[in-house]
Amino acid sequence: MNANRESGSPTSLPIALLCYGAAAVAAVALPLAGSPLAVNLMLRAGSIVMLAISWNLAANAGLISLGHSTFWGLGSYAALLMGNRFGWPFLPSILPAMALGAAVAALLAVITGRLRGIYFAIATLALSEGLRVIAVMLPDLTGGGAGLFIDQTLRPEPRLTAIVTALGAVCFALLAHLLSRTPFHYACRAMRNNEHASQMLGINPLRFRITVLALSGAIAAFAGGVNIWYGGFLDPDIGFDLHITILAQIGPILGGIHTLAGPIIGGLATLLIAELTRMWFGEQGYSLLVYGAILIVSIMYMPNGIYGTLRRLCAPWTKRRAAAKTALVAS
Amino acid sequence: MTALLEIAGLRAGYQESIVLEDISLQVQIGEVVALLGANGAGKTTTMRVITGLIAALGGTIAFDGEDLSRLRAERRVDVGIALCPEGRQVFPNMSVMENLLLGSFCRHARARRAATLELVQELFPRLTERSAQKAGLMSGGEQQMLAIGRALMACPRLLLLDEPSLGLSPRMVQLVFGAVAKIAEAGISILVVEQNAQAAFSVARRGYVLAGGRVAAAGTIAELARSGQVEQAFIGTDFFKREGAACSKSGA
Repeated sequence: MNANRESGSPTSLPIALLCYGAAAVAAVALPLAGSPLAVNLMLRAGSIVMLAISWNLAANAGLISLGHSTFWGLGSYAALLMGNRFGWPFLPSILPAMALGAAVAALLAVITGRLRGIYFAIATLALSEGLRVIAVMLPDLTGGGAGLFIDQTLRPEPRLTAIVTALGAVCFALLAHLLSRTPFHYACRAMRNNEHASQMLGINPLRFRITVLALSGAIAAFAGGVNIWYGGFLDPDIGFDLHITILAQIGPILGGIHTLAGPIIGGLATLLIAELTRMWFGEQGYSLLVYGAILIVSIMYMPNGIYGTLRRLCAPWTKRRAAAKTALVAS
Repeated sequence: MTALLEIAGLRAGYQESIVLEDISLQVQIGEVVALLGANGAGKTTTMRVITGLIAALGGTIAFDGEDLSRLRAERRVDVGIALCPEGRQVFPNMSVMENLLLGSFCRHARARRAATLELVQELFPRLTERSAQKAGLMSGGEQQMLAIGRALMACPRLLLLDEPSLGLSPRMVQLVFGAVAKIAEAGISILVVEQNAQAAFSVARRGYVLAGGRVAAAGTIAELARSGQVEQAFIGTDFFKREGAACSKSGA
């Protein structure tokens, strides 16, 4: 019982499931009912939350990635090529995209071996840059620097891509939630804390590293794959964009790293801040500066993220409520 | 009597530097054995080779008659070897309960988790009181109890204790070694590395004294205590003679 509270899921499972259910309904209803702007927002929200969840999963196991655009880009290229070369429609093409993301992530886990911390981070950064250069140098496959358009006859309605993205985000959030109750999650946390000590308890670090990275890679590739069907155009700079890498980590850091709710809150908050500054300060000019400043100040003054700060602020209130309850029982 | 752990002619080290030249030792079933020696004698390295954290360069290690050398570190927990590492190494950001539950990660221990947990909490009532507290916020002694408890959660047949008295108050050392004695009574074999020879002698029946990567002396605790070889390994052969001479000189 204590274990569950410590792992960052204060709510009971039925309540959590209800929340996920409501989110899933919203994920379907909002794009169906809404304007193209709502469709666009849902797609971006879903993508950013998926990236954040994916990044946070790896971070839970102590693997700080600086190259999440690797999996995003591979997912994009896989989905696009499945469509253009083999005529696969939208939904089926996402499966090979996820498989490729997972496979390369697993390979990365094996290759990086005992690299941790900043060394692992640099390896991931190098991988995404390397793949970007490779994509430029293989014009027959990727269209090179000029890029590729996805087969227009196959393109789904934007509404559908938005629904799939948002539903995907809800599903992966649920998956992360369910995982947090399993020995898998504890093994990852133990590895992050102290890998040698965890090995002494019978945890095989390589196995868990491969599994968690493959899962993380598959989720980011899913996001990349769906986005290419929405955007329609892909070149190496879009696929293996450093911005994706940054986006993947801002969410968890802003929201609360190593928690369940943190990446979701942080991802949505990032999007909200970006949209608000754009509305207030215009498309160009100061908006990005303000956006950056807000992020920096938030991270400086909320070292445990939005979720951590909320929990701290709510702590005295929940404690008082518990005390009142016991007093009532006593009287 | 069969040896549970049998090490013969063990050589090991880190990259170019050989730490263990030639170590041979045995732990019988149900026995408590002390591994003594000064800093750098190779005690912790011996523990690391037994647990598989570093590979042996030569010699053999057998556990319950089976060769261990091909077994990876995490698999050795499954066969029944648990290490309580030097410096405790609890997971600081996890609660006491989470630390304990992680101890029973391997399959055979997970099946008996509830029963083992009860035994561990009986052995260390303090851990029950602190069960929701973060392990990193506890005192050194409490962390040591947790580290031992966590190792016990793996249901080991052989418990390796690396410097359980490190950094503890004399009172805490007594408490910890009291618990070690109880663990031994339960029939678990123990190999304990100690600098605090007195504490080790309170629980062990036999001991090995390491010096320079070799076994300098071996025997029952009584034999070791009588022969003076423990002092010799810890502070050098003619320490007292030289010091005595220096004192008398400066006095004159």
